[in-house]
This record gives sequence, C-alpha cells and structure tokens, in this order.
Amino acid sequence: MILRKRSLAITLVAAIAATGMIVAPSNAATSAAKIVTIWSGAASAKDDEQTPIIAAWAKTQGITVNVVYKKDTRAEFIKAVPEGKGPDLMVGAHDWTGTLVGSGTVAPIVTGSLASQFSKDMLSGFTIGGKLYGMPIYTENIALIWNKRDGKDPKGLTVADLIASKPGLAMPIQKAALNGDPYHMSAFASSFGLNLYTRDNSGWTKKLGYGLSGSDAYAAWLVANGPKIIGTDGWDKSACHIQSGGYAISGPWMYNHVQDTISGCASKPLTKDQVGIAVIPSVGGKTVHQFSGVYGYWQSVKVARQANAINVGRVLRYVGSPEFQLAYQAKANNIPANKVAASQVKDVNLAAFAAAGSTAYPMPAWVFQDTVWAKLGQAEKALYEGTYTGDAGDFLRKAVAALQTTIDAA
Amino acid sequence: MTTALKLAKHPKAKRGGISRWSRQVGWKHLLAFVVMAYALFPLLYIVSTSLTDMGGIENFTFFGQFYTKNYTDLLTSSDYPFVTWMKNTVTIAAITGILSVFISAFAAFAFSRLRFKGRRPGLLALILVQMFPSILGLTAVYGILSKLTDYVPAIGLGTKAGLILVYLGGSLGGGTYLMYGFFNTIPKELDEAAKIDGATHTQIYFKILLRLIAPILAVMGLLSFIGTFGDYVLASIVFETPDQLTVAVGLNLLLSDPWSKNWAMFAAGAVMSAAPIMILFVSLQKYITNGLTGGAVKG
Amino acid sequence: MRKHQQKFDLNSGGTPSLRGTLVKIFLLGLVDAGAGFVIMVLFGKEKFTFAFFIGVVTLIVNWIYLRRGGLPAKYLAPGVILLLAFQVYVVFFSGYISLTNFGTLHNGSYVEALDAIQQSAVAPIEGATEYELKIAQGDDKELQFIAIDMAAGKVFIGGSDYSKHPFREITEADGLVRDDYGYPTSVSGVEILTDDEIVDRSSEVVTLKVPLGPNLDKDGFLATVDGYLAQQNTFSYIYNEDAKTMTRLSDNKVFIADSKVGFFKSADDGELLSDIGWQVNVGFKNYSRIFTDKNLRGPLSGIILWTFLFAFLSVFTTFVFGLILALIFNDTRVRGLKIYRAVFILPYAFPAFLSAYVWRGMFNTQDGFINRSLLGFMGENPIPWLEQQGSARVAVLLVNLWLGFPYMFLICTGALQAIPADLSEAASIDGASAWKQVKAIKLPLLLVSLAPLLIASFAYNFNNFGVIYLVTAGGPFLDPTLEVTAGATDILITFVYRIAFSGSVGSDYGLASAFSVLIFMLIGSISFFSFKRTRGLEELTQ
Repeated sequence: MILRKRSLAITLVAAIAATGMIVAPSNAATSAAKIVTIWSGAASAKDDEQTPIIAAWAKTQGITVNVVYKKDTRAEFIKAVPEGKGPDLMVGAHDWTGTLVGSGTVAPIVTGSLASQFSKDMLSGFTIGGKLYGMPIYTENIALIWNKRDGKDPKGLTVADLIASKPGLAMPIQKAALNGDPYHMSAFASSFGLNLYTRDNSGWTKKLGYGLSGSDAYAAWLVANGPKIIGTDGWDKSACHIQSGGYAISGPWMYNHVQDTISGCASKPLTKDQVGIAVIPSVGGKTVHQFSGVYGYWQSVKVARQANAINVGRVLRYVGSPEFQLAYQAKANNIPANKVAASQVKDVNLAAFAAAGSTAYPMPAWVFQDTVWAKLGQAEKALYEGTYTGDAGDFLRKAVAALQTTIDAA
Repeated sequence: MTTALKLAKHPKAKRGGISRWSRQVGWKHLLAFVVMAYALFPLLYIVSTSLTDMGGIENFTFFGQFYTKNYTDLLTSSDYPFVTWMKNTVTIAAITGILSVFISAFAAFAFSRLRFKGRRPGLLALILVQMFPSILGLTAVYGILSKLTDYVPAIGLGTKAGLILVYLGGSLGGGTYLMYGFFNTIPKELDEAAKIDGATHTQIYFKILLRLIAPILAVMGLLSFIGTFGDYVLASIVFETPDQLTVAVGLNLLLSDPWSKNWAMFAAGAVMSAAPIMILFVSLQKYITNGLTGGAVKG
Repeated sequence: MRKHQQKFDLNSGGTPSLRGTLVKIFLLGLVDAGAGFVIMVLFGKEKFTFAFFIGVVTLIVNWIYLRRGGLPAKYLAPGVILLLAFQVYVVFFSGYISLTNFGTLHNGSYVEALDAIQQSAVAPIEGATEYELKIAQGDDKELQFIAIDMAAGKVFIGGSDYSKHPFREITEADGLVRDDYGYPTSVSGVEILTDDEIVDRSSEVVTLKVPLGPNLDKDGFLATVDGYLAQQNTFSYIYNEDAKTMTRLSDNKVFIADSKVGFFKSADDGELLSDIGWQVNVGFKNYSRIFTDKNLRGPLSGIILWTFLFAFLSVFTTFVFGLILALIFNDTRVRGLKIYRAVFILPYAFPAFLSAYVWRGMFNTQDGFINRSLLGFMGENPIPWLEQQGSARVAVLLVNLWLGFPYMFLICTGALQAIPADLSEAASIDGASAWKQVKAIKLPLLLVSLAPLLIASFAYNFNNFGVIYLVTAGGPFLDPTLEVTAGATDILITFVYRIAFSGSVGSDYGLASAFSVLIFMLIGSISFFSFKRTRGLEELTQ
C-alpha cells in the first residue's frame, strides 16, 4: 500500500514538473534593437534635464530610451558590465575615464561627422592612449561669482580684499566632506604654482605638482586664511551668501542657483543681469589654473555585440549634436561642449565663465585619480581646519610624498 | 513569573506616605522621563524636521514650524514614488518575514526534536556563518543574481522574488537558534502522547508545536520584517528603476541631492515609513520581550 | 539533563493523511517544474555544467522528500539550500577571490579583457576619406559595404572576406544604378538592405571589418558605427591568438599575456600594453601583503585595537544601561510601566539607517542640533564632534548606545522575569539589600542566560559596518601622510571596505576578500571559544 502510494507520488511529481518544461523561453530580439538604456547619476528625473530631451528625440526615431538613476553610477557600471549587465550609455564627468578604461568596461567611440565640432580641449579629457572614449556634452569651470545688485565689482581687488570685505568670500565646500575639496581649492593652489600634477607637452604627468616650490607658502596661506573662507555645508548657504552681497568661487551651477529663491534666506534672488562673473584673483602671484570638467557619455564595451548597437550609436551622436546641446543648454544653462552649439549661446555670464576659465586645465583622468583627490583633499582640510601636526609646510610635503609613493606603486 | 508579579504588587498599599513612595518609586518616574527624553529626542527631531520648510540654512527650533508640504509632496511626487516604495517594501518584508519564520521553525524543530549526526556542530555552524563580514560578499550576491537574471529572469536582478530569496538565505541563521530554545521549552511528553494517538510527525509539528509557539513565531516574523524593512545594502544592488525601489533605497536617493533641499522631505519619508513599524512594535512589546529572551533563557 | 532524555523516534508515527501527501506532491512538483524550466533554459544557452548541477540538486531534493525516513533532512532542506546558495557560497566565493587579483584593473576574464583591448585597438586613419555607406548582402547572406565617396563621385564595394569580396571600385558597367543624388539604388549581384534590416543586424553591421587590401592588418579596413558612414581604420596593435601576444604596430613591440599579473606585458622592459587587465590567480599574495606590507600594517594595529574597543564598549555600555533600566523598571509598583517600556524600545523599532543619518546630522559641528541647542552654552568653542579622533569615537559610541540599549533592556527584562520569584523572595526574607540581591543572585543568573546573546552582540558590533559607515564613514582622516587611508573611527570592516571599493587604483576585491576571510576567522574563533565557555550553549560544543 505504502509502496504503491509512493510510486504514485513520484509519477504525480513528474507530471507536474513536465508541465513546467513545456513553457519554452521565447525570443524577443527584434524589440531589443530599439531599446537604449542610459545610466545617470542625477538624483531623479526631477534633477535630470538632459535625458528627457534625449528620450523625446529618440521616440521620433522609434527608439525607446530607458533612464536609470543610480547613486554610484561608476562603481555599479564597473561591477555590472562583466556580468553582461549595465546600461548601453552612461553619463558622468570626464575624470572617470581612466578608471573606466582600465576596468575594460567602455569602448572607444566615433564622433563621425561631429569630429570637427569639438575643440581639442573638450576631447582630451576623454582621450586615453590616443583613443576617444566619451562624447562631450557640456563643460564647466569655476570663477568668481559676485552680486551686481548689492556688492562691489571685484575688479582690482585681491583675495585678501574679498575676504576682508564685509560679506566676505565663500567657498561652497562641504565642511562635512571627509576628503576636503581640491577641485575648488585649485583656485588658490595654482596661484602658488601648484597644480595637481606637473605638466609636459602631452598634458598631465604622473608626478604630483604639490610639494614643489610654493608649497610651503600655500600651506601657510591655508592655515592663516582657511577658517575665513571655508565652512558652508549645503550649497544653499553659498547661494544665499551671494544673494546678500558676498563673493563666492563656484561654477555655472551656482550662477543658476542664485536666481532661485533660497528658503530661509533673507535676501531676494538675483536676476541674470545682477550676477557678475569675474576672473579669480591670484593669491600667490601666479596664473590661476582652475580645473575644467567636461561631462559626457561613455559607451559600454558590450554594445558592439548587441542587437541595438546602431541605435546606441545614433543616440550617442545625437547627444554630441548642436541640436541636443542647445536644447539642453536652454534647460540647464550650461556651456555646450560642441563648438557650434557653444557659439550660439547668448548668455553673457556663461561666456564670462568660459573666459575666466581660459587658463583652466582639464581635470586629470588617471586611473588613480580618486586617491589623489582624496589624499590631497585630506591634507588641505587638515591645514585649513588646523588639525595638522608639526610644521604646515612639512605636513603638506610629507602627505604629497606618501601619495607619490602610492602612485608610483600603482 | 506570575507569582513574582503578584508578590511585588502590594508595597504601595502599605503605610509610609509620600516620602517613602518617592524613595521607592517616585524617583523611578523621574528617571523614566529622562530616559524617555533620551530615547525620543532624535525621533522628535526628525518629526520636527519633517515639518519644516528647510533649505538647510535656518536655525532649527523644535516644532517651530508645522509645514505639511513635505508630506503631501512626497505622497504625490512622480520622481519619488513613495507610496510605491512603501508597497514594495511591505510586500518584500512581509513575505520574507513569513517565509523566514517557517524556514527557521522547520530547522529549529529538527534541531530540537530530532537526533541526527552533525546536529550540534550544525547549529553552531549556523551561528558562526552569520559572522562573515557580509558587506564584502555583495559582489558574490550580485554575481548570483546576475546569473539568475540570465537564466531565470523572474528571480533575478530587479525582481522582488530575487531579493526575497537572498534574504531567505539568511533566515536560518537569523531565528533558528532562538526558536530552537522555544521548542526546547515545550515538554517532549506532549509529542509522545500525540504520537501514541497516531499522529504523524507533520501533524505533531503543525498542529501541536507550531500552535504552542505561535506568539513567538509572530514576534520572530515581526523582527525579520523590521530587519528587512530597514535593509539598504542588499536592496540597493537588486533594484534599478524608481518604481522598483524599497523605502530604504528610495530615501537614500532623496539624500543624494547636493543642494540638501531634500532633507526635510527625507525626514517626512522617514517618519511615514517608520511610523507603522513603531506602532506595531510597541503594541507587540510584551511578546517581543519574550521572543528575544525566552529561547535563550530557558534553553 | 539532556543525556537522560529517552530516544524518541518521530518517524514511526501514524500514517500520513491524504491531504498532507497531496500538498507535499504539489509543492515538490512545483519545485521540479521550476527546476525543469531552468534546466531547459540552461540547455538552450549551452550551460551544461550549470544545468547538470541544478539537476543533481533537484534530484537530491526529490529523494529527500519522497523516501521514507530521513526526517531531519526533510525539515532542514529548505533553509539549508538557501543558506548554501546565498551565505555559504558567499564565504567560499570570497575565499576564492582572496586568491585572485580581482579589482578595477582586473575586472573580468581574459576573454572580456581581450575584447575591450581589441575594441580599443581600432584607430581611424587620420585624414582618410570618410565614406557614406549602403549595406548590402550577396547570395551568401554575407554583408558587404557599398562605400560612396561623394566628393570624388566614386562607389566601392567589398566584404569581410577579401578573397571572396575584395574591396574595389564599381561603375555602371558592374550593374550600378544611382539615383539623382548619386546614391546607389541597386548593384547587380547584391541586395541593398533597408534601414530596418540594418538595425535588425546591428551587431553584425558594427563589427564588420571590410579590408581595404589583401592584408587587413597592414592595409586597414572600413568599419561603421551607425550604418550610414564608414571610416577607414587600422589596428594600433594586433593579436596573435596562438602565442597570446599583442604586437604594437607603431614600434613592433611584443606584449605577452602574462598570466601571473593579468596584463599584456613586454618581456623586455615590463611595459604594459594598457591598463586593461584580467583576473588571475595570485596564490596567497594578498594574505602575505596583509602581513608584510608596512603601509597596511602601520595603521592596522591601531584599527584592530579600536575595533575590539568599539565592539566591547558597544556591548558593555548598551548592556549596562539596559540592565540598569531593566532592574529599575522591573517593578510593578511603577505606574505607567507599559508606556515607559514602550518608549524605551522605540529606538529599536526605528530603521537603523535612518537613525544613523539623523545622528550624523545632529553631530554636525556648526549646525547640528547637539552643539546648537543642547550645548549652545559653549558658544564660540563648540565640540568638533566628527572632526577629531576622541570626540568622533565618543560620538559613534553614543549613537550605538542609543541604537543598542533598547535591545539589551528587552532581553534583560525578559531574563529577569524568568528568574524564579522564590529565589529573590527568599533573599529578601533573608534581609539582603536590593543591591545584594542583584549582585549575588540576579546578575549571575542573567549572565549565564544572556552570555550567548552578548557574545553574538560582540560579534555583530565587531563587524558593525552600518553605524560607522553612515555616521562617520570611518573619518575623520587626520593623517594624510599615510599611504593607505585610515580614519580615526575606522573599524576593520570599514577600513577593508574602503580597500575593496576605493583603493589606490579603484577597487581591490582580492585584498579585501583576504581581509574578510581573516576577519571571519578571527571573530569566528573568538565566538567559538566564548560559546564553549558559556553554559547556555555548552551542549552545542561538547
């Protein structure tokens, strides 16, 4: 009895199982050719001005664009691609290129007919080993932002004057940021002749530029002046500072933000015409070389083997086109990377940003770039917050030496 | 336990007056208020923040504002579909809670009632394997789910089922030991009697033992629910699009805005997501006390 | 006590009910159906080993549930299978990774790295004509490019196999028909694809290389990315599949696929072809690095010390606070006890990641609630909470105390209530003071019953990534002169996490996995021996 029941059970199990096997996996390759996935680091669709434009255009081409918002796009991209996952395109700042290329997750791109529309500066940030890996979208650099309504023209003023003026000089540096902010601090460091790395004809070398002559003077300056300029958590504060007549060293994003109402800020928003953009005065006497950053799109290495390869390429070249970059500029008010588009932008302040950034260097994109940002930032932070030990100049030089060892070992 | 409670009840009825009362009991009320203030102030702080129109630059005052827009904004936002997040999270956490309780109750039954080779090392290994620093195992978990996506998309990346499976992987370690203790508190004579009456092992398990420890099961389920509800790390590697997210991942997304405009909205989300759990938790408080200790204490 | 327990066989119970059997059959059938489906899919994708593995597991599951007896397996199987799949596997996977150089620069397999390198090897010929493109196929279904040089008015055709479809100019004499603009509308012998057909064959189109001469490597080739334009390209380096070498054409330098380091490397001077590498086995190199690399070892001793201190103090402070509360409020004379208890445990019910963020905000030196409102009297000299080592450590401990004391309060209350009343009653009749009762009777009993939970709590806090990471991220980083970043509140796991995800050249999972294996061994053995010493679990380890 029991035996028979058992064999009956086995038969039944097999029967149920068999029904599962009949459901065969179907193939949906044709539709996959028309879907393009983009990863964006924007917090959400609300903060994302560009992908809706792309999606709208793509729709007219019969292409569906899926946008996925990721908090840590680059790390997840590097993790996902070897698994055959991840997006077709990803947007970000050009200094990621070294790491992305080293991880073997991005493929070179072809600008095709757009090639002549980009200046060498726009492409160089995305270029590694002579190969172009990203389609530039827009560029930005920092400059001195001031308030024409309530403030005094900074022309002829020194940084010391700006600091001493009643509304003062603010740096939109997150005080809580553990790794400081060498990006913004380059406005000062470079005026002492210190750049992140030394430079030769081909651009950045792998030799750190800090710790050279001028380093001690810079360290001393940071110790003396850091507390007076640093210390605004949340960029809203910097915007409010400008609205109330102060100066700040920041980028086009801040220019746009001071035109918004800042809740809790006593001063009114500025109009476009009330915002002034000026060259950052040199503290140490040498030319200021702040960084220029170019945002752009990388293409996943797996795209070439995918059914949507051509459509991905079409989307990629669309974002490089003047048509897109102008539409984006109209929304986000930035400086297009495409020359043709940039020449059509009428905003005098954006032009002033570009002019103030004429001496800017593109951010380095070495594969160890993150470590350099972090370590130099920590050293600068220790100096301007006064937590350094020993002599300020020695401290900075020691930190740079240790960092150089790490770079050389990499 | 009941006798202890009864015995302890009488002193207040005795003579002695206010001074004796304040010496014996009164100061406890005072202390209770201090401790409550400590326990509550971060929570009140976040409630208060959620009611401010905060751009992050005002001076914060406790309940200085009653601004409900953060709540209405969050509930109606299409970029941050909070209601969907809640639904997702509750679904995932509830299924995980229920299934994990069953899985660990099955195992705890085996460990408590059955004798087999490797029983003791098995139970110990269960506890020890939980001590692996799992944050670094994320790459491995991602790898597994990624393979599943290729072959069985229904339980791969981006699916609730996939995430639930990952959580269930940890369910044995989570509750088995505590439940094992509870099974041990049920006299063996009970199952024996049932067996003599002709009950099968499944009947003994489902009809007798499980019913006896049902309150404990509920508590373990609740604890698992809360743990799953608050998980960020695993949920963040599984989901991609805004409508798939759980509350923990979604609220994190809210915070990643550099302008810090979202802090008050984040607070509103935190309040709304935590409130139901806290109510549940407080109302089941009595059982939870037993749930956490009974097994360990009596085992 | 257990030793005297009589043998008791649940297997020999009554006969199973029909309903139970049907439920079992149905569930098992579902499992088999699922497994069958997966195996079919795997066969379809030619993943035979994986399919075989799933098959074996399924058979084992069926065997467990269909055979008589073997009761323990029936109850343990679901949990154990999930445990093996998601936890034990993770442990072994980490063990395996710790023997490799897996990281940003060694991110995938050799095949994947090779693919990335070869895609990067394509270089456009500078100044060469860019052709407009039509794509066609011959009778053999192989794609051919029809390249149009608009400026010169010339049309060329060619396929990927130069011997079959050499790249050559064609004219009307070859059956070329052009429209008014000069674009070909038909060529005899081939069929021009429509835009939709091109998109459908995207992958084929973009990977097609049409050699410009008999030697693709030397003469270069045409390729397209969009199906409309074709560029003339060459390779910067050429792969030799047999020798597994890359030759750089600009200087004929040979780079060998070095399976020791996972890079293409020159045998002469050690130059790397590119940063793109692949995963290789490096033996115990990661482990020996942990013990010998002075840059790691330097900060490590301090971090280990703080990890122990943090775990110990976290358990100690929460336990003492929770115990005191439990002792004081295990008193039914106190009215409103229920409300008090409910409020005390609220922090436990609040999702921990939210609490951590709230606390981080409250500790902010300038704007934080603590400095601004609670310690406002300190005025110009606020405590720089998260900016100095001592205060940051105190801060994380305070956060952990808040997060953890309700749990300790709960378990202490439960354990106290489980102490037989006659014990304390007897003591109080003896005239023992309340403190003496606690010290002599309650505490020892509590410690015995709670020891396993305290050990587990220690182990948990030892690897309490969440609190540290969310509150301080291991910072502040006060010593930038260290080569490996080590923060003032870094515990082992946060230190290792930074290595794993943001090392000097991106991530270094190999080294991080070696660390995690060692951490596991450390905390595992501490817990194992502690469990052995406690009565609560002694029967487990006998």
